[in-house]
Amino acid sequence: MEPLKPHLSRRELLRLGGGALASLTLGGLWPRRASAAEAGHAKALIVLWLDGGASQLETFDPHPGGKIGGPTQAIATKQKGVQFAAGLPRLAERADKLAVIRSLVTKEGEHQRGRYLMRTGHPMLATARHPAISAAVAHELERDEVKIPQHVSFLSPHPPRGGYLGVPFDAFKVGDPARPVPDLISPVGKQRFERRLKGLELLEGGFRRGRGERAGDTQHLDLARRAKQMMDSPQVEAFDVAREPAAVREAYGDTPFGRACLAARRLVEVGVPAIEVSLGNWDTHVDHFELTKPKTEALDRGFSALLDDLAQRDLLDSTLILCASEFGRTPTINPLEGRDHWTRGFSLALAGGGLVVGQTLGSTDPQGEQAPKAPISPADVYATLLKRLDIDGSQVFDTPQGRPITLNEGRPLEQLLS
Amino acid sequence: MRAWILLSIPLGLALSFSGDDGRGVSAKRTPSLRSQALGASIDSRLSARWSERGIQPAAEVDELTLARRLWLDLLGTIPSLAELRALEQTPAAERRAALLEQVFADPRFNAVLAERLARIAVGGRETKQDDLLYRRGRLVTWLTAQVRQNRPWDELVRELLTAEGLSTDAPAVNFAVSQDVDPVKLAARTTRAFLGVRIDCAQCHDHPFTRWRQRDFEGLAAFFARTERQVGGVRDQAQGELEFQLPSAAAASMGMGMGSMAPDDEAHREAKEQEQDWPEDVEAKESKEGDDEDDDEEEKLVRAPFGQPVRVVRDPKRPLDPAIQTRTVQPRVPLAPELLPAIEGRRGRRRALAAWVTHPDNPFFARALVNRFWLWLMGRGLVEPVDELDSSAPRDEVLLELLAREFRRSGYDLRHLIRAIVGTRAYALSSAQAEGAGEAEAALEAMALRPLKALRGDQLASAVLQSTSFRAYDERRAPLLRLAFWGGRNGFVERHADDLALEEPEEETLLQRLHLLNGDQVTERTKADDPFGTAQRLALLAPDDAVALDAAFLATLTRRPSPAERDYFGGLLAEVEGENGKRAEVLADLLWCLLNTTEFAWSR
Repeated sequence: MEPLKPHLSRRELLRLGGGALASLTLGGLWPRRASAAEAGHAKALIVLWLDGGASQLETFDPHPGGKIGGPTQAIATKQKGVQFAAGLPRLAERADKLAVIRSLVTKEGEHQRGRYLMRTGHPMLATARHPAISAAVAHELERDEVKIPQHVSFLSPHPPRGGYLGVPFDAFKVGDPARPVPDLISPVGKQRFERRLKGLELLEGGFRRGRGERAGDTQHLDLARRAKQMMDSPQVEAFDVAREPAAVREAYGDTPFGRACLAARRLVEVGVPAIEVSLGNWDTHVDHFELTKPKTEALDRGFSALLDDLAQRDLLDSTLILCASEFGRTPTINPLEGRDHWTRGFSLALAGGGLVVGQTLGSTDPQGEQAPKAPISPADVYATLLKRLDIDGSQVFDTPQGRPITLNEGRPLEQLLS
Repeated sequence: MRAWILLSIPLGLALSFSGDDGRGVSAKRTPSLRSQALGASIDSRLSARWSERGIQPAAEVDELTLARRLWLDLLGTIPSLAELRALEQTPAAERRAALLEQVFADPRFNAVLAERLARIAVGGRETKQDDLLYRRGRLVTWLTAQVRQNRPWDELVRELLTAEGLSTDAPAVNFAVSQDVDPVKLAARTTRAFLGVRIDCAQCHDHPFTRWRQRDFEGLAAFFARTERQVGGVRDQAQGELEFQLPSAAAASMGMGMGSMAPDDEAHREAKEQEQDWPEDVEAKESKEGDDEDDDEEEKLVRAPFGQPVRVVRDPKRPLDPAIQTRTVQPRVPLAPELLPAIEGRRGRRRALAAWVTHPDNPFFARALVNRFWLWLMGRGLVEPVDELDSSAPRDEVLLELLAREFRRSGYDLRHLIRAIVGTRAYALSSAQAEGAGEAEAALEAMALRPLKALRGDQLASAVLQSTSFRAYDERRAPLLRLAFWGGRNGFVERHADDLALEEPEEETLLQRLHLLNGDQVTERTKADDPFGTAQRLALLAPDDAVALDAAFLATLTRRPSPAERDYFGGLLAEVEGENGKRAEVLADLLWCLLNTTEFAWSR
């Protein structure tokens, strides 16, 4: 377990206190810890990534009726006094399984930088590359028995990366699970492929002469062996959602995102520790309300089905789910019926993994003017997740340039842990 | 040897529309004596070091391997069979000189060099994605035209630093646009790219290891204070100052704190480094926050969590709130102020800075470029990282200074520098050590052994495509074929994209490896049953197995098979003697093996 850092600043104490207070006043009157994982740690992380900057106002933090709400309606949820946008009816039904944070504050209003910050918990620097949270989890929970990639990303145009942990921890990029993972099957069949590898080994032997370890250091042959290991492993069937009963597939929704959520569950079952599923195109500067509808629909179905399915298989308590985006969208509605980028008070949702769910932290101003109460940084969210995963966030890594960097500099959100 | 030449003619005809069977190699033009002289100086310096340290340098490679190296470095792909045939028809004594002549006469060289320079100036394709305002492709096209005329480096840099106009019709402004026309980012990029120095760490605090002070960085940024992005593109204003808001006012305007930034030393330092990249309009124009196309950059603040100064680019037309206290920063160079000309006229600030950066007496300008080129061509920099010229000790100070001096003396002639380096004996050293040679690392450190260099995605793609075609995919090729080539190449590069501002490619991923093993690009080119495929043509047209093996190895690895390889693959062919279908299958498997070797994907 990560020891608490001794120097807790006064400001942080205040903030932590404020956060706890907010959780009491804003819903979660009876926060509860998801059952069985009381003692155990989470074993896997699924990130549902809303790419492009998802609107808090049309998802987890609606403010209907006022000047900033637009046409979006709000509905009651299973969290007392907490409303979600009407586009998330299924998640509203399952809000008792969610912990919602409504007061994320960052300084990165540009896509690439926002993505970097929200995925890694660190601002983008010219001098170092941090791993995405999912890459860090894959690195720390790497499992020998898993013969397929330990870090998988579905549907992302820019998959999360391993940063200073190295290219092997970059996410393995996969598209819509309706199609098979590309290049996993040799076009010439198994026997001839074996024969080819024999020829390859002979050629490599010649190249190694006089180059010794340096040839091995290229990893080129080693990667071919790893590729073969993956090709031969029955675990690759986890990518194939067609093996699921029709009812299960239907519950997740007939969308790439739904199928990828289902594939994520299958990957968790075979032991893959870190999976990201991306749901794209939230960058709605124009015609925001119409364009957002199909996305909230896909999210609502996929996320809800994932919660139900994991719970039914007794995997929810050991699987953390994080649903986040690079930033939120402006309270003001621009002349093109769009919302622009917003970093001062946006939302994310957490579930499973033994977190204390059924609560909502922080709040934003219904007029969109005041700063949010109890602001929370992505680093703190990741500190919390790492703690549930029993990963030491205070460990220091050396970057390739020899610079020591702490994995995580946030502080766990105690309200979510106990 | 003649046999495989006979074979390669039909190979070529099957793919080409014209009867032209490739070009010969001309050794008529003598290589520049000046470059040869510099090359000789480099070699004698290195030799002296080797004997000093008792290091036995690796053997020199043969012309085939040298051709592969030159082609990959300078033309972005591997030599075609046609080009190799022409080489082997050249008298042995002239081959090396002929190779150099051919490379520098090839138009592909200009494009490769331009891409390299663009990488220095603005980073790789992924560093910043193109948008309405940023056009990296235009910059590369422009640079290609400039290097074709062999314009000197100092001229190019002055143009990049001072250009005005739209990114589409004044391509050099893409340098400023790549940094969002932001004074702080521009100061950082200018020093990193053109001086090989990271001064931006000093923007918030004095650098712990170097002489740079915070005011040095601010003073540099002030040279860009009057540069703005307007409807008509980038333009310098007659007025405007870089100001820093004083801490008390900054704290008041912040409104709220960032709780999680623990003020311990490491976090403190990191948080400070972040500031450069957090331009934010604190003047409560919230709807505009982060808007990509927001041109309103006249007045900006950088929020500083620890009471650090806050930056303002002041617009004289819109005075700041008088309650905000600022200090104005004047343009100031961090060293050798005597090299800075007087600042005169509307465009004076950037012009003065450009003159200072490129001044012959600026100690970093020439070194930064020669060091980057040494890394490019030799596989290791004389100083690494390449932007720590001020703080990291060079592998060989004498050599670095020699190169910098000669580059300066040549009038910053890029071709001359490249020609000198690739003409050295050092460039031609093998990547393999002799039996019983000492530790590889010591030899690599002394530049007595060639490092293995991973091909970038575009090089690998081009090499895969080139390997199954007799003739080079250069501008002499039929347009449709070239189009198909570029299409295939782009599809491949997508899977093998190299990243960010890195000078050298990143490690290979499993996904990329799978693509080489099973993906369509290699599969298409190693089909046994395609009547126009290379395997079928080799099977049908090669008069005997030895010729088929030679052609397959030359087309992919630019060498002939070793005896062991000849035995093994020759044995496989002998087993299927007389069965043409089977023979094509064995040859297809061989091609697949060759394309999947480390030797193919890494420059040896």
